[in-house]
Amino acid sequence: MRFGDSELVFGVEPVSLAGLALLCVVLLALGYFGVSYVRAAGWGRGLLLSGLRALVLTTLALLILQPGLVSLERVLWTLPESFTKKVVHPVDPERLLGLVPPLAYSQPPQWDASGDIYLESVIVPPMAFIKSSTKVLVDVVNDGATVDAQVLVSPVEDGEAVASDVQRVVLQPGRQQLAVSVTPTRLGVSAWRVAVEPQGGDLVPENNMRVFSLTTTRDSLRVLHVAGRPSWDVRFMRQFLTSLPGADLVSFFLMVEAEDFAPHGRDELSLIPFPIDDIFLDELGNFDLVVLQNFPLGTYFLVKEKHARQLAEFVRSGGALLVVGGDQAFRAGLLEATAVAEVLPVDLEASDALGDYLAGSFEVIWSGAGRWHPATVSLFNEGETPDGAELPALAALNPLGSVREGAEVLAKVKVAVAGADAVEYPLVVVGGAGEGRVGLVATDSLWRWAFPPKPDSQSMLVYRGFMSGIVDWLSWAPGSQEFEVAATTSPALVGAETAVQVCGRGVTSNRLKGKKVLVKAKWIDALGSQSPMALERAGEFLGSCAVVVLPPVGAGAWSVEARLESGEGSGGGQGSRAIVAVEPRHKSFAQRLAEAFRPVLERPMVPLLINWSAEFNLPGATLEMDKPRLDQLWRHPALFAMLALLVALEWGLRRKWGYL
Amino acid sequence: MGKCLFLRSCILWGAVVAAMLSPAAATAQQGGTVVSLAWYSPAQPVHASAMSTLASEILVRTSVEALAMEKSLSSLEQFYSYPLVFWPLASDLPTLKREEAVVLGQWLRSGGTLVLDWTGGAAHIEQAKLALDGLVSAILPGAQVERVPKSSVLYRTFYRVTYAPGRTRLVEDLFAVSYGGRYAIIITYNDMLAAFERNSEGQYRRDVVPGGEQQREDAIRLGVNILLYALCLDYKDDRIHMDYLKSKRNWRLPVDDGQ
Repeated sequence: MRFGDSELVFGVEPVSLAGLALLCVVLLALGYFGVSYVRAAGWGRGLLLSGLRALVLTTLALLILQPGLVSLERVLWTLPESFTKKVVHPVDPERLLGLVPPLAYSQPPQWDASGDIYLESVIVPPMAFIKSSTKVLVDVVNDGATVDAQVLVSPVEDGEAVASDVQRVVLQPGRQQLAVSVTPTRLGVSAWRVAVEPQGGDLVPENNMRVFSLTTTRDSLRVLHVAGRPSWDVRFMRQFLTSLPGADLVSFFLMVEAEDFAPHGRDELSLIPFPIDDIFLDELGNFDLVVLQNFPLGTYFLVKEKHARQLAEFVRSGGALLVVGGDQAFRAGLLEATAVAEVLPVDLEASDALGDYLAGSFEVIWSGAGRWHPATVSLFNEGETPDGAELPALAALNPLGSVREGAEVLAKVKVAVAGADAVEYPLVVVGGAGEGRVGLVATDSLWRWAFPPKPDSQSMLVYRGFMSGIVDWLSWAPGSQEFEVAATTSPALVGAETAVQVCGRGVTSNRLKGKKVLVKAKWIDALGSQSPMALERAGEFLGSCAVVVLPPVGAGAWSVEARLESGEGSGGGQGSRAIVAVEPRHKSFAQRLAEAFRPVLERPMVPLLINWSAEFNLPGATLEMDKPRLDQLWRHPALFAMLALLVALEWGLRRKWGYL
Repeated sequence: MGKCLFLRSCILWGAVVAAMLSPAAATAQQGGTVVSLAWYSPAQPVHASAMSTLASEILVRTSVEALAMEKSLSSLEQFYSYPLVFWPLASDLPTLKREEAVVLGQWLRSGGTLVLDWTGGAAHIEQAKLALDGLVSAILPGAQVERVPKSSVLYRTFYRVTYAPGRTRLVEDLFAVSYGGRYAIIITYNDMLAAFERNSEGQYRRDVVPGGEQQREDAIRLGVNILLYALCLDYKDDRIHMDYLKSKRNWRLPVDDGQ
């Protein structure tokens, strides 16, 4: 038997091979008896007796094999009242073998079915833009009558659904595609739930909901660039930021200091007041990335505590912050005395540094984390230094404090100390704070990479690659994750194990073999009725990919985060993330009905024991069909009478003719 | 007026000496924040005080930590250590060798800014313009010398300047060569650096004609604008700045007279 969404096909198995074998034995026995009777009684009487014996044996064989006769039985089942009529097609009769005993197949049964509504598929765009409406297409099948319904879309997060977009639709019978709007408010991957709730309920509500994942990025990068004073470092930073595709840049440079001698009036200047309240209070949330370059956040007279607090909250809420050094930056600008210090990946107060701003000549040393981190991994291929470039030494350094837990030092420098061993100081540090990310560059001399002192230097490519990588990582650009994480089968199914594959991106993939990956997974219930479940699994990279297996769970989503077990390159406490949707096994009503029919109809003929009763847990209206039924021969008394008559006739003729 | 200028000069030089003796300046001189002003004049000697004066004025008027070089650059290869170089030109304009033009062109494409300051006066100015066209073509093939419109950000990077002042006022406008969306070469025909020269007593050496001391002040302002343009590029063209200046200060950008 086979079935689809709208058809049920019945077939009946032909006679078994055992029956055919027994039939052959009977024919051989008849042949033997026939020859014996002909020799004993001659051709006339011998053939007659042989024929009678054949009939007796055949009748006995039929009784033993029980091939039965197929007839159609009209049966009625009750079904929901809203069901509409549906035609079921029969099996192709040429597929059946017309063997003895005679067989038949059912007439096309007419059955009134359906009333079920289910979501067949969800089509998700490859990328959505944050805080912008995105269309998701949902294929809905209505096996019933026209019905009003609600379509609900909500993000799947801890606990209950956070918010839900509700759309009212009219579902016509058949298949239709709905467009629902999704407005993501967070970057990266997220899990969403779409459900259709028809008015008056549904026969099979479990197939009315699907979980899908959405990858969110920015359509433009809104950057605020604030500099404490113009310098070459500021010039080349601005030049880089303005060259970024899709970047909207707003800049403010402090071009005068309060104590400057000013032989001019204000009207003779093209300067504008520094709009501190506009930037740090009113408009800060409209930016994606804030670059503070050599800015004295702790000493500038216009900056108050409320401004610094707002900036710290901006980071915790998901904003990106890049702090670049200089003679007024970090501790030289009393940054440790502001609220922003709480979100930095270093503790500025815990420092035994030689000063707040050191001048000299400092060679950059890339750390192990720097060679793996998504922000800087693209600078390295097989070599120990950024490929193809001899980087100019840096002319200044802001000694930072101790690095906080979860932060990564990507690059450092060594500072010679008279009469003592050289001291290492972090140069580039990255980390996470709340939902946001922070990057520190503890120098104002990086511009020397952008404007190298040698004509044939390629360090400007390193500058651009470094800045691009840092900005991409800070702003959660999709391609900045270290690993690609995905389920091997999509979607994962309720009650089945989920295999998650973690593969390296780009240049990291060649260096992963043998390393261990740590996967942190959290299952979130789609309906929000069960508590989340968190677990960790480890796997080993065989080549560039590793596979870990997650246990069976209910409908919802796995939030998966992968990082190297050694912690390298994990980027400030946050690994590569993905969402794996877990969906219930969807069965349409026709599939359910077919599964219920199967044990009733698909029975071998030897032995023949048919269960005449069928139970369907279906409320409401009527299902009417002609169900094939096999009538066992021994339910027909005429066959037994015929057998008895044949046996008596044969016995009588043999006695009369003297062959007993 | 003379007393006011003398008093201001004392304050200025005192501030310069104090700034240069302070530990911060000593540190800044060696760090990455300091902006160096370098010049190149293989044929035309430049009075060292011109650059020192410009650096001092920048130090006093703006937040930039400026420092004049002690001596001029002696070769084009040295340009790579400085993103901004002043090059005064006289009647005998240089003829660059091919490899020199390549070096200079690469420096400009990397981000360098060159300021050419004509010091030859009115006599040979027309030949100078033609020769400069040839010089620019050798350095940046395909590039052209163009007049800088009055509405350009170069005239309002820090000060509002309406013409191109120097020791003289032979040509009203600045000229420039664009590359990569910025002015890579800036040309002035009015002997700008000479307006900054001082004698050993701190007095200005050269008279400024025809505008006198006001023209000298305007020349200093132009020098400040050029430096800040090199540091900030088109920062002052950002919409938020223009919107404020137009609404709050009732600014109107100058209408170009097409000269």
